[in-house]
Amino acid sequence: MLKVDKLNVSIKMNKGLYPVLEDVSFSVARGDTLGIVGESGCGKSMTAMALMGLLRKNIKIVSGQINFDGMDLAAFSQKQYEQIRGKRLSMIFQDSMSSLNPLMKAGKQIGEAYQIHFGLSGDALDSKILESLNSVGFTNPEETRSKYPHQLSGGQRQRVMIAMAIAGNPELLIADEPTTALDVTSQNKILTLIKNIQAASALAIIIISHDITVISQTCSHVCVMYSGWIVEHGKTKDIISNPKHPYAEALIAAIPNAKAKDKELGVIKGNVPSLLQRPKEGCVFAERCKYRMPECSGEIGNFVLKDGRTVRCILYRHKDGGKEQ
Amino acid sequence: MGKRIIYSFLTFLLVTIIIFIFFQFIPGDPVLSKIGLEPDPALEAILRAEFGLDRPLPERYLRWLGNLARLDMGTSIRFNQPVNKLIAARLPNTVALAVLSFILVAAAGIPLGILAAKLNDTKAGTLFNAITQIGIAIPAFFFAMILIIIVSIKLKLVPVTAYVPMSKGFFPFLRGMLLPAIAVSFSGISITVRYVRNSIIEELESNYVLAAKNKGVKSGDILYKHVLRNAMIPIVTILGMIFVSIVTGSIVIETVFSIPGIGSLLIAAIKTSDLPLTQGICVYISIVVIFAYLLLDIIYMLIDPRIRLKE
Amino acid sequence: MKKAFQNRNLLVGSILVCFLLLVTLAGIFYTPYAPNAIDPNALLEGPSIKHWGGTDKLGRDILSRTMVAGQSAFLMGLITVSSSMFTGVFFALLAGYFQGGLGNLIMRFTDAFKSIPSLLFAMMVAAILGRSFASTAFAISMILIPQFVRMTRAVVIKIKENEYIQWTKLVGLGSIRIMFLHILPNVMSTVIITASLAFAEAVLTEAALSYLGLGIQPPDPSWGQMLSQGQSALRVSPWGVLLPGTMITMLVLGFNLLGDGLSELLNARTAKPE
Repeated sequence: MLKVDKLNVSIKMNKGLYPVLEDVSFSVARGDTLGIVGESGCGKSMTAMALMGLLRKNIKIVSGQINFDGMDLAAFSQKQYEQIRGKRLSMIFQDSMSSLNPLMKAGKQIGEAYQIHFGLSGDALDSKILESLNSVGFTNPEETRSKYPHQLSGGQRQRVMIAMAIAGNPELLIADEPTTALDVTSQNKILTLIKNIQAASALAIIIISHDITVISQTCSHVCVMYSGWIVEHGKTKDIISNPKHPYAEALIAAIPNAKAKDKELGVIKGNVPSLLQRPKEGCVFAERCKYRMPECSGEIGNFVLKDGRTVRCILYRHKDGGKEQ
Repeated sequence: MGKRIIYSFLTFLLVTIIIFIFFQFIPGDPVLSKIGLEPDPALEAILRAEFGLDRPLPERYLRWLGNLARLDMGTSIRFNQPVNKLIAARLPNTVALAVLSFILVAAAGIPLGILAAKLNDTKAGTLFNAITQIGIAIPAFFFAMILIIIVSIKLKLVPVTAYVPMSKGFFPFLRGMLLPAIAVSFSGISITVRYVRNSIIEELESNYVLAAKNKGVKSGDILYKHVLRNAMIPIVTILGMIFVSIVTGSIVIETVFSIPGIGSLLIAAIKTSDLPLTQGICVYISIVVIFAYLLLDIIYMLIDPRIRLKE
Repeated sequence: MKKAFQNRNLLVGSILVCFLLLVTLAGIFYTPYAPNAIDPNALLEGPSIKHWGGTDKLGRDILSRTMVAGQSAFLMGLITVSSSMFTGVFFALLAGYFQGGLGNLIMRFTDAFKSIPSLLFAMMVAAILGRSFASTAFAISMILIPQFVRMTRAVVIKIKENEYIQWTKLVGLGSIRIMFLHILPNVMSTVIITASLAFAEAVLTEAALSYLGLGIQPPDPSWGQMLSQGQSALRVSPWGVLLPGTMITMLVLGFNLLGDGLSELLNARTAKPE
């Protein structure tokens, strides 16, 4: 239902064009959940924004396709996007505090979506708002609807945002770090809520997270991203039990440390290069990679292994049945 | 809210102290100037007692403040009339000028600011920016003269001294006030345009705009349904500044257009060394400004629910 | 340096200020006519090859007078900005460093003082100290102090929290030493930006006061005064007000742009250390 094919996105800055996503490809089927995992700054949110048509003015899709139900979203204008956003594909944002209008009551913000998509008003709208608040787990929707965002807790705001995002019954939902700001209990509640919504409507979901444990709890497939590349893409359980790409390997090896919040992924030497310092040629991970070899500075393609996963690493040229795509 | 009112009151006390002390530094003695160069010591003592000048400074301040509370600001030397009466007589003209200017600032500044935000990153937007920069830099009285040259002298639309007293009818009066009000409000409009523009551009970058688009809100509706109210909050904080620019602007502009208001009264008072009148007008305007700041803070609390909560 | 040229505000601002400064400095050595020379044969003339800016009602050359009046404007700006800068920054260091008792007292006074509109205060000073260059300079200096205090104090408070400053305290350096040797250099960029904007305000206030007849008094020429004289003959010779009025506008605009540009440049630098 969604198939992203060799998506390239560049940012325009100081008159130069800097690639930020290179040859990103993945797909999600109806009722499926795909995870995208990686450190902050690796291009996860950028991917989501590109899918939603919400890239900032100076960021452009250079090439590639976003095939959504037979339409190519990569070529969509803002006008065309307005027809499908919220209705067919929708998104939950990272920071619930800044993503809700601070001067609008929660109920009204949810109601706006029902107004747009179903033309509801008056009593019908009121009861729909209450119903929707109820469905995302508010036990006292009457009270919640008249609260401003700053009067709600982080978990409550996240629920309001979910209610807003699914109001139009979308077919695809992208959740960008839906639980990052929350404590463990609210985190589990939100993930369960998302799963329940999916079960009820055969929704396709993309969950974006820096936390591989969140992904492993929810997603059947996962993309591991690093500096604008999808370095490995396959079944979650395969990748967790036996990561192939050196970066994925390091990422999985870091899981036991993931509990110490600030130090996650600390075991990998170095940092994700900033957008402007990305290597222009060769593998983006080469500098931090312990298997680095001379070939790494050449062109690196995607290799499909015999178990079906895709790895973007020269090591798999002839290994594990790797075939260049 | 209570805290804010107490704070305003404290400011008021400090301002009166500053003004009171200032007027104690007058070179020359008001009593001596009244009785001439060769004073009779007995008469001088009587007069000093009458003026209360034989009392210590704090006592004189308190008495002055008490009088002020009863709206008694002393007697003008030049007009030989109570200061409060003189102010009251001139007040309508100044208030009319200020209110008209304020309306112009709001009616022109906000829509033009929205327009400027829409024109951002275009050539027209840059031109807009340049005009507002000039609008802030140009002295109100020079702008007024340019207006007079164009509107009155070249186009002959209104007479040069257009002031018509209110007793001759409200609309002629209003018509006469229009040119002065434009002159007074020009810098205020420019400031407002810049702030509204910057504020909207900043708000358009915020995440809730993305979330609203995600919900399916059309980009045309986002500005009016979501951004505008958020963008207006910082505007309230500059209204105080604009109010002050209008008040001081009217003082000068009244002189340009010969409007008998508080500003021209003040200038006459200073030029004739009429100290009670000068002091009275200064205190009066300061109080109005403090009160306006208080009022604006209250409005601010009313439109921003986040602040309402903290109180 | 390259960045400085790319910043349009900074570029236009410095060009304006430098141009006006040059014209003014040139006026010390050369003016087309003696600024006070009366020519009864050339009253209220418009701009011509002989008199580029026209003449006033006494037949004096407006360009020459405008050039000389520029000296008053720059001198007034220089005196008031520097004196208010020293006083303001001094109080700001105290208020920022000793938050609480002394700091609060300074800020209360600053706030109260700020609620007297600045032009009104300047008029009050003119009423009490008389109308002259000196009393105008005093009034404008006083007016400008609060903004130096407010802007600088905010930075002082931020810097004070720096590890580095905390460390100098631990080492046992005296308050005065810390304030002047360690905090002061770090607030300079803010002070320079404020000074530029304050200069614009000084020029504008002086012009308004002189226009009202409460500022610089004849025979010392000033742009405000020239505008007031030109206004009385506006119908006959609208040209008379154009030159001095444009000079005020350009100078104020120049310093405003300079201040904006500097703040864009310097703040960008402090935000992103390279």
